[in-house]
Amino acid sequence: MGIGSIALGAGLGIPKVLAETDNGFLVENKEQYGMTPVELLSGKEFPYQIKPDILKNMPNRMTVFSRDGWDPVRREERKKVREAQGGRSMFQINMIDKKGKSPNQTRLDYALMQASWATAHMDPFYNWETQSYSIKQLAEFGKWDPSDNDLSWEEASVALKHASLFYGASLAGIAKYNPLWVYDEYIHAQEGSNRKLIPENISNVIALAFEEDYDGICNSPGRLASAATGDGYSRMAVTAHKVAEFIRALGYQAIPAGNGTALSIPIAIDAGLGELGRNGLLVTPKYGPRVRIAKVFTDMPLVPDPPIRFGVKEFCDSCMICAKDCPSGSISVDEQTWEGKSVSNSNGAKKWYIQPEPCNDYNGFSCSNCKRNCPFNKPNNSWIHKLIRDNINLKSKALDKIMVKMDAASGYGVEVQASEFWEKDGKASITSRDPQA
Amino acid sequence: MFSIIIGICLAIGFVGLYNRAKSKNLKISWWQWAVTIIWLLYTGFVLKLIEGFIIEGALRAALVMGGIFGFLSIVAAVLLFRFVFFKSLSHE
Repeated sequence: MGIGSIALGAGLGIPKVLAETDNGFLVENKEQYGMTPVELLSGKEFPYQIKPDILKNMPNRMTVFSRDGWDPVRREERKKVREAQGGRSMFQINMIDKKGKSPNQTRLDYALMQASWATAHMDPFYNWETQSYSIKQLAEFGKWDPSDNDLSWEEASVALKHASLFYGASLAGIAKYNPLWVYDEYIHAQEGSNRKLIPENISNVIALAFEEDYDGICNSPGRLASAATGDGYSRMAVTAHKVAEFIRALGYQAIPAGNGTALSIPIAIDAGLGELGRNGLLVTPKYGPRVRIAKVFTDMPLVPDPPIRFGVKEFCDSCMICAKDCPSGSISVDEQTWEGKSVSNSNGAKKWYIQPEPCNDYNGFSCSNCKRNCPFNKPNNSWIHKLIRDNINLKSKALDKIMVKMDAASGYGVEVQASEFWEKDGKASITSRDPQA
Repeated sequence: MFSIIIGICLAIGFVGLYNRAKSKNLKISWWQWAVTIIWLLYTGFVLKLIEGFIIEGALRAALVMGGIFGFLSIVAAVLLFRFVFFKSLSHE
């Protein structure tokens, strides 16, 4: 009996437990945090500091992507990058000059990358109004009241997150709408522009995070990392659109957005999806920085989620791997500051500011080295990584340094060749599709 | 499955040590038994660690982490048998 019980205890896992309301409704998916213990902050506390006298709405035209189109300084910098490549684009170099045979840049790799962006920018995914007759039909019943289904607004908020996961998001959270995060062009009318502004009745934002393929990201700066990125963008568009249509069917307003309209990362932080890392990315408990973010603005009176803290800032203080290994030197090795060095930085928050210009110029969309190297980015399907995340929450500098060394010694963070990727089981590489993860 | 095998092996190991101590009338104090149990559990943890990395496909991690933690387990085993079970035997 003694032997049996010891054997059973060692062999059986502890089953997952999800909370339920009195009427049997699923209240919360505790797997949101990947079993990582997180500190839930109160609604008035956030895992960041801002100076309201400095922080302003960032103009969309000042993002480095936009500046590439109109800023003569950026145009000159891009021209120099092209000249350094002999006047050829990376596509021309890899597919024509090297005949599609360069490792990690083959035609097969390019095909995976190009196709992954297939639905990223299609209409009508980010439209502000529905074009569906069936959605309009449902909306005609007026604004849905959860009490019609014996639900509270808290339970309705969980239902909305459940729908978001159903439609393909890896993580979903709700934040109170903060106009400061919206790009200036969507808050203040611009002269000569008929761009729509975010309506004043918008009250909440649903933040959606999409896990990027681990094996693809590990190929960075190869093309497969861009394929993982592109796949993330494509899923963002489709899911944000569906979530928006779901909200519209319930009679409320919904404005889906990808990278545009507002800053995704602070919205995701406010929604409790993670903290800001040294690499300038959202770091989530389950997937680290290996996520893409979309959001849906709404006037639905939802219950916001609390922001969280789980030791990212303290870990990033000690780690520095992303900064040391960034091939373009874009990531800060210094302490957090209130202002960045680039005109494309949104100053006024205490954080590590990256330099987006050299980042954008290095290998275009393919580079995800900072995601590849980040010790937080591990797949969430292993008890080992979950245990390590538990230790990170202890916020011990000495332990953090040891874990960084062990991470590197174990061979994590190095570039995985595309040839290895193609031999793997593609179904298994996005752990959010694994219910055990 | 592997977990059950580890559990069974550890259980057999413990029972084996206990039976040996009983049959040889060894005087092993409670804290020495506690250390023995901790060592057994730690060894089980190391084996699970190696298994976890192998399942994930991180073979280098299995080798490095298994080597570091496994080495500590071996050192602990040598010390345990030298100063607990062997020392107790020499006092018969």
